[in-house]
Amino acid sequence: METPLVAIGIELVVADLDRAIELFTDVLGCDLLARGPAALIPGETATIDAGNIIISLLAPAASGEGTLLALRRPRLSQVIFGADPTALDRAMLRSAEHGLPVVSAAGRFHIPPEAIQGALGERIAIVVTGLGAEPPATGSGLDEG
Amino acid sequence: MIAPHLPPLDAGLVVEHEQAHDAFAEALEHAPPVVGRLFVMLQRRLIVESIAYVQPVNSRIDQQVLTPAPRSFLTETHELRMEGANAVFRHLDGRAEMKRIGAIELVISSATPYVFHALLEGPAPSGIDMNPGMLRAYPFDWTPEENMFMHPPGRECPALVEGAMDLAMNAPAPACVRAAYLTFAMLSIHPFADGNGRTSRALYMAVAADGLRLGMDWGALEQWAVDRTGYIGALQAGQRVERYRGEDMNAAAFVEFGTKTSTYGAHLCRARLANMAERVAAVSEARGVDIRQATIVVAVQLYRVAARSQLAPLSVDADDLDGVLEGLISSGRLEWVLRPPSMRTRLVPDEHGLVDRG
Repeated sequence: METPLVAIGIELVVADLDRAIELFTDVLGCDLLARGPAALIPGETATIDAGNIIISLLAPAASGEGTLLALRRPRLSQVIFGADPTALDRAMLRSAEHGLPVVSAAGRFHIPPEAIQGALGERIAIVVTGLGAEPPATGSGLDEG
Repeated sequence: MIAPHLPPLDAGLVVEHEQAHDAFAEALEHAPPVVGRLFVMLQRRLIVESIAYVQPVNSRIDQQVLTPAPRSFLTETHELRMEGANAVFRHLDGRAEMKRIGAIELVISSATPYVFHALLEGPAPSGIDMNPGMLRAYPFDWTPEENMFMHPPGRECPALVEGAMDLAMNAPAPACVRAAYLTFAMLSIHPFADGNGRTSRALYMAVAADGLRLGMDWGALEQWAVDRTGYIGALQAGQRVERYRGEDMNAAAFVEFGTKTSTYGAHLCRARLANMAERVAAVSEARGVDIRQATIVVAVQLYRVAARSQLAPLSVDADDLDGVLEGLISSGRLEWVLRPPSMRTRLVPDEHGLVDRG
């Protein structure tokens, strides 16, 4: 029997990182795991331990060096699933067979927000990553479509 | 202001381009007619998706799927873009046929940019009326994080478009060079309020058509969609100036990109056609059906759940198609099922479709 995908994280684009962290840590009692500059775009990120999942917070900069995130409004930007290698390959194949664009990289793939918008009405990337593999960098620009 | 100049292209690339397209034309002309129609059915869909730029299912340049599934889960904007692109394809196809019978000299005409834009923007895919078929009167600037390049003022657009069209239609250069040049020039001038990418890609098809034996470049635009990064990179390589100045811009990188991708696309089309012929032959032999029935079965497999209207291009006669379908359904090889909601679109709203039952 095929192992199902497991939701392991979400990414939220936020307008004010301090306030977002305050909500998840001081109010809801989650642990702040890390905070620092975003890896691939100008901006700052934080990761929150939310029990069964990790919440990544991204506050993209409106100016600065490098490629700015074009769509900076606050929103749910990624849903991240973990999968063993066989389940990951099958999910990728099934996505393509069902007519969805699939962007693959070593040990993971994502379905771009433009395609998910047609299913959910909102621009959210679906990311599937190998369990145990490095998750995609926060602010990886997957929402550039 | 002037239009960008027409760059030269390495003669070797032009020869490779010609040889690749001639080899593909040879293969298509010698394929069984139903297999040829099966290829056209699939490739036309891919070209329409590419003109409209809905992200392709094929997303890896180095591992392209020979028979990608149709895009699903399209948004209303995508569907309206596809509707416009489909109309453009019909226009191109009609012009190519008129040229073939000697009614016109060239597929491209000086009116083509306006016709294409009117067809593409007629359905108003952005939800706003963008003056279909009319040049913009106002300035157009990108937001700085999107693109720093500034296009020319609206008042300059009519003369710039005329200059670019003159070179694309009359310059003594191979059609593949003039075609990619025109795409580069139009994307740089940005003469319409919206729909410039779609119009410029379609214009490539119209100019390239006049240099090809088949009257259609079946391969290039699919590759532009698959290699979107290369497409943008080649465009921006010629726009390394802050604002539009035709004399400072260089279409060379885009012309090289356009020719190489067209050549690669012709090779892929040839492989795709061969794959389809093999699949049809295999189905025919394994299931004991004739080649027309086998072609329908393969088409249904390609669509996964095929609406009847999607299969119509496979037959020259509607009664003939219905007869073949009836035979395949009554023998249990095909079955009507509900089409998944993700497949139902404005162009193909059918609730039911056919699936292959083996």
